[in-house]
Amino acid sequence: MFPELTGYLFPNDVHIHWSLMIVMYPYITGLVAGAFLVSSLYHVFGREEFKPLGRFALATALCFLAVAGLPLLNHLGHPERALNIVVTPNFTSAMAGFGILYASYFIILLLEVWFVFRIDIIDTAARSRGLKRRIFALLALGVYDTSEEAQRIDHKIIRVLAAIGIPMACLLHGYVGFLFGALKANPWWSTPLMPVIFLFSAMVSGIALLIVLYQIAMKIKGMEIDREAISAMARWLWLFMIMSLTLELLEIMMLAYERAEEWEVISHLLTHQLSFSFISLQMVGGGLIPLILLGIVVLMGSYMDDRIRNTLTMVSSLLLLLQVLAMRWNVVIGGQMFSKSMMGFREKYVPGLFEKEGILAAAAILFIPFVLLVIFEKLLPTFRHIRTQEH
Amino acid sequence: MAAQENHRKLPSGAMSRRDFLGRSGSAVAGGMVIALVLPEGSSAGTLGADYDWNRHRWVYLIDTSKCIGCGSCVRACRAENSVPEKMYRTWVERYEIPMEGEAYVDSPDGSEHGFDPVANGLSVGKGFFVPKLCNHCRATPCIQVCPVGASFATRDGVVLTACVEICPVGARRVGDRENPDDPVIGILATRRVEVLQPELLTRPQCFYLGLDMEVR
Repeated sequence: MFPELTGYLFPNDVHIHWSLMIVMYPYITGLVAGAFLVSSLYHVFGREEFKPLGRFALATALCFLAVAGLPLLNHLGHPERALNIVVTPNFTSAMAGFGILYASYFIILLLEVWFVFRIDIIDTAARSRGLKRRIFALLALGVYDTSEEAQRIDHKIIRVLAAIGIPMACLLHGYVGFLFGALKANPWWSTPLMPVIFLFSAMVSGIALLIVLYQIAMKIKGMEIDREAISAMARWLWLFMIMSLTLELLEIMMLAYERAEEWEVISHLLTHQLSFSFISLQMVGGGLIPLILLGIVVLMGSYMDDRIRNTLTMVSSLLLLLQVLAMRWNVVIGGQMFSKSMMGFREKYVPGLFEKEGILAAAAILFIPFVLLVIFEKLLPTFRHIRTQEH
Repeated sequence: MAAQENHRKLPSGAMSRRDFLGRSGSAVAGGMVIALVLPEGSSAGTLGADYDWNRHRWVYLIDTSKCIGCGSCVRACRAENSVPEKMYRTWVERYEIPMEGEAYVDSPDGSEHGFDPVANGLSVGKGFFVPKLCNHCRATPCIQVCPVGASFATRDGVVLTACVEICPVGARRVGDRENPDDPVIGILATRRVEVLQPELLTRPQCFYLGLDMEVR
């Protein structure tokens, strides 16, 4: 009665079609959502400890959002057909919703970035000459009002945009979890927990990314790493990772306890094909260890030397960035590893180094936002307001 | 300052904001009226001028006790529908179920070239073939998710029938629910039939006689 693992695959179930690119895509939108949340914690909820990071987090979100569509376009055999989403729309398709969500969220984020950096744009335009002056005059969109009144309106608008942006960022990333979770034919994907798991792990990856980038940026600029900011981020990171891990484990425990038909396949998957990426990376190396390290930082932070705190959070963040990537891999690739016959596993998927959807392509796509961030930083310093405050 | 901006003069020939919005609104409304009034795509197509897809509801019936695993259906489907290599729009599975132990299931190349005898050392209690294909669901999960509308269903639930026509033993049949005298519908009404994966509630219109609990 229990389908035995006889190695039988349905004839169309031989290859894995959703590649490394489809692993990268939710990873990147997760980074965006998490970075945006940190920015909104300051702009909407007025958490002062995030003030040093508010602008940087916004810039990070924008730079990663810019490349979020690239893995998908790279993966599609006919990327030009993506336009059919608006030509022959299907309103019940979660995947089609991406186009609308992405476009509207991009607009919101661009607007918010403009309003936050408006004064700097005007200042830079005023101080520059020639081509640079023209570029910044263009960016200023013909508005040169820097009065108190204007700044007050700016802050109001920023709050509204950030507030609208929160549910949109959640939707932009959450719908991917919904897409997988609502797929009733695949038992590894089908669970109402999926969108929640994706969202929480997105927060984890975004905050972890900011911790890493913030510390690196401060080192490069020779500025001090703000103690309150790091402590606060460590707290939020710990909270989100606990919830994320709990839900991920809960899903597995449910499957194991219910001993539904698919458990035979999934337990084999977890202990064999995904043993490294799931047990070693997602649960132990990326789960248990950061849980302990961050726990130490949060619970004993007040007695801690700044450098130790920074190092522990840095190590935890790097491990967690890896953990979230492993989780995306385990969901996307893991869910395709077994045939729907529930009796066998597909061929092993090892992305090639130089393939179109291979490791180098993924690394390149992931590298671009950092380049964009450096360019952004050159144009509009995201930490200058701190320096001017210190003076 | 506000008063001055309200009364700014427009350059000659320019449309005011109010005008622009008004005209855009009319254009959109007009377009919607036209779209609603135009008749929906005709059902005639290449099927004949008097084929009305509102008067047919096609279903598919497979009798596994008749299937001999010859694979003609797989070859016919590939030829008729230009199915790409290594992809299968229909295939046949062989089940050899021993008195005790694991069932043996296979479908070599989707049984495109039939089945060779296999030495699996089983003392087979029951053996049978199960042809499979699109289940022509009425609550289609595939149409629900397709972002570009590439997956769609017709009102009559049309079934492609190269496999039905080629099958030498009549294991595959098509019926029309709108035809009261249809023998296939008669079978659905009087004999025990099953569908694949009923728990997913997709209302498949592809029915089976003689499934077994080992079949997924």
